[in-house]
Amino acid sequence: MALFFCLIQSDGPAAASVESLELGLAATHRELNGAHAGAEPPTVLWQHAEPGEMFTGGRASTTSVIGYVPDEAVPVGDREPFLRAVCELWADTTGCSTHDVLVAIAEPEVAATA
Amino acid sequence: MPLYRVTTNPHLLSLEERRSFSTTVTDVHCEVTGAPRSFVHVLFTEEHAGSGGAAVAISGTIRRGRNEDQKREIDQRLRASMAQLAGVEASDVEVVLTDISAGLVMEGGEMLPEPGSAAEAAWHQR
Repeated sequence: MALFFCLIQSDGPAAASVESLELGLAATHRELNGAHAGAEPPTVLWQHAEPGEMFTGGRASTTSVIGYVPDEAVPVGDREPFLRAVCELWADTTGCSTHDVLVAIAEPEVAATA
Repeated sequence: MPLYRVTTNPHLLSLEERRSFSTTVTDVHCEVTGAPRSFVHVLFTEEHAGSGGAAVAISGTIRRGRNEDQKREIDQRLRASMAQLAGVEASDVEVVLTDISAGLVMEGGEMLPEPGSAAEAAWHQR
């Protein structure tokens, strides 16, 4: 089962948009995998960083970190569009800047696979 | 990226000590790698280590392409700094660095640059 792990700031805009973000992540996952609307959605886990727990550049952080663990390796050509879709979902839903979004695909490196 | 997770025994570090160490992590990582400061993230969590566990575990996910000397320097400097800050032995601080390929990460609306690429030089200037 595919998994999203989302680390967000408890006092930031993402914390008030969890439900919308989950729906958006599920849609992004379906689009990546070509799955129909009734397919099993990915699991989404949330960690809320409280004030004083996370820093960026040595200052209190405003960053959201989203990790994606797919069922199968993401083809090289699909990676950037997928990552960008998640970034834009976050910015559009929360109103944050894309500078405050870090997205990563967690999987073993594959060599130019289709 | 990078993202450093610092896990400590409960109540080991004060807020000011966490802030101080996050600055240290940023300083060390940027001095060793040349990465922009605004991309260095440090997250603190507290867990009971249990019997035999390290007092502090530092797990860093860093962009693939750093050589062994760079990784060793990051390890040694973070270990020494945390040991001094927390009042523990250096042997009670565990540091693990994990590589992630640039092609798997987007930050600030851009893919991370590949090591040695032309884009990396521009990225370092940010």
